Amino acid sequence: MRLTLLVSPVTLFLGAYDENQVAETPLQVSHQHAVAPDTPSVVDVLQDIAKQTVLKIQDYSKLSFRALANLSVRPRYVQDILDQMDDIGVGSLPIVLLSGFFIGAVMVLQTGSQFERFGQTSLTGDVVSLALVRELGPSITGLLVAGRCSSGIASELGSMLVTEQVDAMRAMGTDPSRKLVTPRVVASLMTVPLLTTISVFVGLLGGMVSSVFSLRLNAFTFWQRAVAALEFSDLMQGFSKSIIFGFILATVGCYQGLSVRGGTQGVGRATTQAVVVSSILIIVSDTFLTKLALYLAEKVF
Amino acid sequence: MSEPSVPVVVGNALKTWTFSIQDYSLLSAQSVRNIFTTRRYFTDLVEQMDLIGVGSLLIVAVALLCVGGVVVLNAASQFARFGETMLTGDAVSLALLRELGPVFVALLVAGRNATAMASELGSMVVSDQVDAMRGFGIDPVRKLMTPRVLATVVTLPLLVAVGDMAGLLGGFIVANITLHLGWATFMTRAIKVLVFGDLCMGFTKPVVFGFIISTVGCYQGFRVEGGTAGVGRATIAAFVVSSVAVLVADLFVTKLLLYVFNL
Repeated sequence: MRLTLLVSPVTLFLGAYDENQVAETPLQVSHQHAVAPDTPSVVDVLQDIAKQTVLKIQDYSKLSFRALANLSVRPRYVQDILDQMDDIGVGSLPIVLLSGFFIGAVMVLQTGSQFERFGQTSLTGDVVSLALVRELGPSITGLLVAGRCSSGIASELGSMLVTEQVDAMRAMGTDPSRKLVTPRVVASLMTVPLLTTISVFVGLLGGMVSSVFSLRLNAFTFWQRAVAALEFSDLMQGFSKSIIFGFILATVGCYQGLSVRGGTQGVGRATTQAVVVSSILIIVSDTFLTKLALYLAEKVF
Repeated sequence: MSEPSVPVVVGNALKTWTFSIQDYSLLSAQSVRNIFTTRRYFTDLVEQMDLIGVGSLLIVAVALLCVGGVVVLNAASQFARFGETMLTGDAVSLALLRELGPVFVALLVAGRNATAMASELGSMVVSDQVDAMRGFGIDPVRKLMTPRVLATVVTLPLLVAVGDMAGLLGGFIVANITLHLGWATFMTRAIKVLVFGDLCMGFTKPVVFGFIISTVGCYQGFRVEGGTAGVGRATIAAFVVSSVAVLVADLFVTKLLLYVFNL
């Protein structure tokens, strides 16, 4: 016992002459200057980036899985789901109506000018309705709702995190994932397909108006051909895509909001990141979903 | 005081709306006029071009790569039915250059940069930095808004050019895999189908969209009221208004250019 008491100060004293030791207190005598850290090699930097990315993907996957798994057990916050459906669905309605109308009108103008060359202007209704239902309706609605709601969710949850409201919630026994994330995800899953439907409908209306005024087509012919050209597989393609896009935008917004670091500036950064990441994910997943839907359309429908 | 009647409420809303359009027009006109008079903040302009142009490059390239692939996926089945698979290059090229390129790039840049402009300028207004700037004799519109407007107007057509190329590449990849088209067939037809009017349309639209995105973003930033919560509201409003304005302007610019170039 006494030997160890003697040995430890000796080892500490000897340890003070360690080459890499930096002065930890102002009074501690050090014979070395502080050693600058080595510049990391390219491999180290890439490894760090890869590890950070994998960690983020893991965190995001856990958050999104938990968001849906929370529905299986009580408590379920139904009032919050309804509030969020009002915010996401009804709040995005003006932007969806306006954008849908003008997208439909532009599509008719462009395809009409092409078809006028061949004299087949009546085909315009077919092409525009297929393009709207399969592609443009889901993706443009997804992008617009992502820009509006994903950033709103990220900034709201980020502010709550920064002002410690999430911690307070946890301290009072409410699971923040159950109260904050799940209502937003469920609301988004339910309202984005409805918004897509409205966007497609209004787009066809806009196309009708545009075709009457610029292509001199009969409005009834346009509408009839537009509806007749659609098959069940097209509708399935459009609406399954919009469900996935709704899931993506809500989960990305919640993830970015709940992983804010750095106070108010971090909230601003998280808001922009939410929009960028959800837009990219929507467009990239669009490619794979289109291929999947076309494959299923051949085999199943 | 009784509740205001419906005509009063509607009238007030219309007046507020008209005043904000007036405000916005005066601010945009001033920001453009500042380009032609000294003093010019060239360093800020270059910095903004870096942030807006180079910063958005990666996401524009990746996104339009996928958009080109999706166009071919959708068109390929239709063309294979008629046996006209060579038309795929035509269809992708026209769709991307005339419509999808400018609109998708504008929406992506609006999401990334209009929100950033609004939140940055809004935070500066809320923390009184803009007033301090004015106190020093620096015109905030000249220093903050004009570089952003000019940077967006200059870089958005360049981003659209990169995006179009990425889209054609993505379209080619999918066409090669599904329809077994060769590079020469695809690219020759894709380039040959373009007329001068298509190129004009494809590069005039980004100029208009860039102006809209940046002026709306800066206007929403300058008009923040209500502290930090107001900054959040302004950020979302910047995105919403600029996206809708881009799509509305798309219709009128398309119609105008189709008429002018007789396409």
